[in-house]
Amino acid sequence: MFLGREVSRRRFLEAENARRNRLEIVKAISHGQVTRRDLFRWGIFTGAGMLALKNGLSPYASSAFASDVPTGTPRSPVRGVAKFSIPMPRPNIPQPTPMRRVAGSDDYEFVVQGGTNERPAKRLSYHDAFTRDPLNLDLINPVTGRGPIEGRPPGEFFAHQRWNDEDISPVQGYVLSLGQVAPGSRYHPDLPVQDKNSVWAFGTRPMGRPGTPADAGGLQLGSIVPPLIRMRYYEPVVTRIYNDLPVDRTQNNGFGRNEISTHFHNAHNGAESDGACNAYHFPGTFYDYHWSAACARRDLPEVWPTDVPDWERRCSGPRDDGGLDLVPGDFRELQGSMWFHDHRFFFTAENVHKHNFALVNMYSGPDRGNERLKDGINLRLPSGDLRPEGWGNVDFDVNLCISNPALDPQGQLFFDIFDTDGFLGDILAVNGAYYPYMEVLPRRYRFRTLNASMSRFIQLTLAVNQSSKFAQGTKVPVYFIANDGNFLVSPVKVADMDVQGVAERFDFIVDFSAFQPGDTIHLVNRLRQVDGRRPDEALAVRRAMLRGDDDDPAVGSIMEFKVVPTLKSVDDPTYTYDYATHVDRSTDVGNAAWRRGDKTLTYQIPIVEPVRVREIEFNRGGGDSRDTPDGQCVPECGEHESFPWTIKINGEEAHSLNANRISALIPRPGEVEHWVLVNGGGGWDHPIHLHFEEAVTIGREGDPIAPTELLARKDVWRLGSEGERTVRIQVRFGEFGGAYVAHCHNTTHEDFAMLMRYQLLTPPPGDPAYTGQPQWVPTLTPIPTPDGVIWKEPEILDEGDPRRRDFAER
Amino acid sequence: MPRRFAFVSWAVVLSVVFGVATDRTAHAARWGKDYLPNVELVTQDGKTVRFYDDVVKGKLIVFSFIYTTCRDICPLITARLAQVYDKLGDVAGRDVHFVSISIDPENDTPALMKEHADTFRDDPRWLFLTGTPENVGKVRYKLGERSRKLTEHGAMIMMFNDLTGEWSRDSAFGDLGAVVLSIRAMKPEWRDRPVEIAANPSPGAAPATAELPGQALFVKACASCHTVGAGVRVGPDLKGLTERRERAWLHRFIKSPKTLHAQKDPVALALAREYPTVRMPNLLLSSNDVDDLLAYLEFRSFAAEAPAGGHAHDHATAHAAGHAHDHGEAAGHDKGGSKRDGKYDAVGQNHDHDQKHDHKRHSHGHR
Repeated sequence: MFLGREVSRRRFLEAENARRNRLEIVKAISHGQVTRRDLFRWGIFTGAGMLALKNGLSPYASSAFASDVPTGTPRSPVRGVAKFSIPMPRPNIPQPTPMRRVAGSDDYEFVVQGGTNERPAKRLSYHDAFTRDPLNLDLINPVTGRGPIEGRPPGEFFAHQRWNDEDISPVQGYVLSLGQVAPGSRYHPDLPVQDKNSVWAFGTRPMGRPGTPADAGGLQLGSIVPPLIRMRYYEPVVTRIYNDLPVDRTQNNGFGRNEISTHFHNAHNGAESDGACNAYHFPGTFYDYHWSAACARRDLPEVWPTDVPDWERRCSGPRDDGGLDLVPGDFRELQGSMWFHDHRFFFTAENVHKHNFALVNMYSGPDRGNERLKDGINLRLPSGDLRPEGWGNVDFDVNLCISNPALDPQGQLFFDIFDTDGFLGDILAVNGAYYPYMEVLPRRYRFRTLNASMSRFIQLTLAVNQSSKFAQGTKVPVYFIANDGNFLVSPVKVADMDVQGVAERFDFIVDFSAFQPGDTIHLVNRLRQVDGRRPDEALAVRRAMLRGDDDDPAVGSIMEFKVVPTLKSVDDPTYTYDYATHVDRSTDVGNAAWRRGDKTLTYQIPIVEPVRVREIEFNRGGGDSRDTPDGQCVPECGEHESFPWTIKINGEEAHSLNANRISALIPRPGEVEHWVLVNGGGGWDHPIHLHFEEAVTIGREGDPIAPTELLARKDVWRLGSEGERTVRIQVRFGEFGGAYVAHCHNTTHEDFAMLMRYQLLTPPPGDPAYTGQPQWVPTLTPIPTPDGVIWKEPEILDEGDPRRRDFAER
Repeated sequence: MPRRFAFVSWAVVLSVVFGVATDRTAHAARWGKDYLPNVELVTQDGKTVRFYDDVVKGKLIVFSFIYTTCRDICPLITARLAQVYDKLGDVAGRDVHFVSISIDPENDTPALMKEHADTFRDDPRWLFLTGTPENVGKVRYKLGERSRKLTEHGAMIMMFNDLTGEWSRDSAFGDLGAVVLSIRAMKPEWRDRPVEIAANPSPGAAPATAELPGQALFVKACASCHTVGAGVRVGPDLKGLTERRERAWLHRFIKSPKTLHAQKDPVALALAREYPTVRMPNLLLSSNDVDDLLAYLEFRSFAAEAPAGGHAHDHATAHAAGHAHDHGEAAGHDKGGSKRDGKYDAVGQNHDHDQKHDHKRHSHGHR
């Protein structure tokens, strides 16, 4: 893929030239800049004088430039930049602002001492008022003078669902900016400062700062280190996200669209706050997302596991006083490590690559972020206990957000917008830093890894780099505790982690207590990937660590843990830990009681007979695995060109003309469905993401299933790349309604229509379960414009419509 | 529409006050002139052109990728883009240039490209380009059409404005109105022109699911090429289809037309003779889908028998079908502007270009 490390200077220049003009060898010929003789010398012409079928000169060859540079991108200019030379930044944690209901209305205001200009949050979008009163300057985008101040579409369909339900109405508020990166931001002090339009990222925004026409060039409030939001159950949040990007959409340094839509990956929120229903918004506007902090199955008490001891107290949020706020729901559905990111259709890959993402840790009674407090519910996972709030400690509970940048020859963040296979960067950054190190005490830690790449799969192993006791390359086992932020029932001890696809989150516990200060341990990516379509193979850890891979610079150690005797606290910056006196009070999930299964992290949601089975086959080229409908493969039929996915329900014939954006699925709330996700072949691997609800992973066909995935609740599944491979999952929907999507989370594939919309209907008026939500009918599709939203009726294919009489039998 | 005028003029005032216009010339395009290959390609009329200098330079372009021998879903791409072309109205071919590039240059001669072009839209300003495999390969690779097999080819369309250096992408199977909007947003002058915003939808005013499930399928899969009672478009008028063909045959043909061709089915061959430049695509529909479609066609045929003109037919259909919204993209052959078309007036779209090409079928001869 990228040029090998022993590359000659000439070869490098050649590649650099090719990047500037990638395929431009031929353009160079046409401009007389190089001669055919040069090309022959470089091996680009064959002896016969024909252009060789390599080096990207043919669309059928895999590479853009040369066979060892499949992405067409020469290595980022990082020569001389030492790995593990800067400390890993910990995410900045924005502080919430309390929200209070304004008397006599259902507005909620930000409670700031001395008051604030920041507008209250409303159930209906400000767009609604704007549509009624379009000349009211108070309601007009103050930066452009066009359109409404809020990008959330008007009307009841985009009103916050269940806004006034006691446990769902907002308690805290955040005001965030999605803007240009702050001045001076860089991946490493030895790498260039990123231009304000190279990186667009989240940052905190001053409360009550009105926009002005002077903001048209954008605001530089973004943080290259992804922020982390600490949420907890029973504390619903309004997150107001301002689009502080330049109004002129051409000011993007080559990629990224200044229209944004924030998907809170996989929170239990109404569709209007899911950020993936085409409701993107424009510079100068904000969008209020209502993050419900509700627990799934809230509305379905009949499935609550009332036979589990303390089932009620487990379904809770941590209180500042050490107590618990009980929330209705099924504690087996609690969530933990999450993130939010852009979901602007057709531009998701560009925008997320540009840093439009941030982290959320969702805290609950069992997963409280306090390793000391004993109440019979708190699992006391490694975290710390210094925060006066008594929850959300991060000293020993560390988010590792792994992203995959590439830099152009000037050192600016680069993305090839034409790489439709999936763009691979050649750097793995952790929390926005180039191969950092992190100081750790010799004790237990919990890590929360997120693969925030666009198309790169990773596979992590922890291995000794330097130690007085262990040889270099010795694997350090970890206890895997959560997949996609959801607890396994029992921790699984593994030496090598499973492959981690885009958007997957793996939580694991590492015990560094066997190490001495001065020892170093590496987090190693062993998975080689040279093609955006799928990963290649995992290398042995020693080889990956010591030699890396000439073709894939992202193979190797991605960060270093340095064991130190003393460590400054993050939770209480005035405090310094000293390992001589420090007592690790966290649960040891490796002890006998855990191994025997006497203690568990959670309980298993049982697999039951489904009401219906849907088979969803994803294709990205390579045709259709089925024969012709008649089963007669006539001489010319060969492979079919087909739509990106097809759906079968209960073994019926497949429906394939589900051209993208059609609502194809309308699951009925509360019913159990099994979905079979099928890779239709073609040599692609797809990480398939289901929005809104997690599903229990029942099994795989064609591949072994890792113990860290079996029966785990997940929201992203890798399909595997070869042969007939399937993943079977069990899902149930409820509480909220509207238009959601399921799609391939290789964000490049997603942009190219591997995305299907499903529509979740809420109970209709007259039904005892009716809660006033208007989503009992299908939602109109918003089409945002700078002047406001216009509407499109969804086209609904029939097979998923629950109002059809025979639906129940399906 | 007095309210709209008030709004527009107020917006003009605001844009002066706010100084919205920005300096767009300052932008240096990373993916522009120096990126795009200036290689020679050949148009459907046999003219040799340089890709950058003659095709792209200074223009706003909508790129799509085709191959003329495709018997699956790909002909729909050109068919649907032809609908977009119509919806764009006067600006199509003048301010917005459509360019369809063959991904099968070994087989797609200019003559075949011409045949394909004429089948859907015989406007010489819409370029259908082929050329040497090397040159075509370079262009499509650069534009992100990187499928390694013909069957991998997707429905992506790329938009580029050489004056601003900006790229955008969409899908030919997206909502056509939305595609039109995203094309129009490629031009700063149009982007800056206000769009009228419709009133808020209220609960209960949401669309009912089509009572006739075949409608969505018809809109997406058939309406680009077929009308019901409004004449030949690309393929035959489907009015009365179920009366003139056996139901079982229709099932077999719609599900896999190429199987029937291969079996030398006389009706399939006769159709191929009558419509020599285009073949009914393999849509991979299920039996349920076909039943739904046929039911919808029967209904539309019945409605088309009603006494009033074509315009009224569609409304009759809409009302009879029990919902008040228009028929989306199916309305491409409507004679009058529908309510939603009216909405697009605000962006200057001319949606009311009748299908003057409807009957061109017989104007160019058989091979």
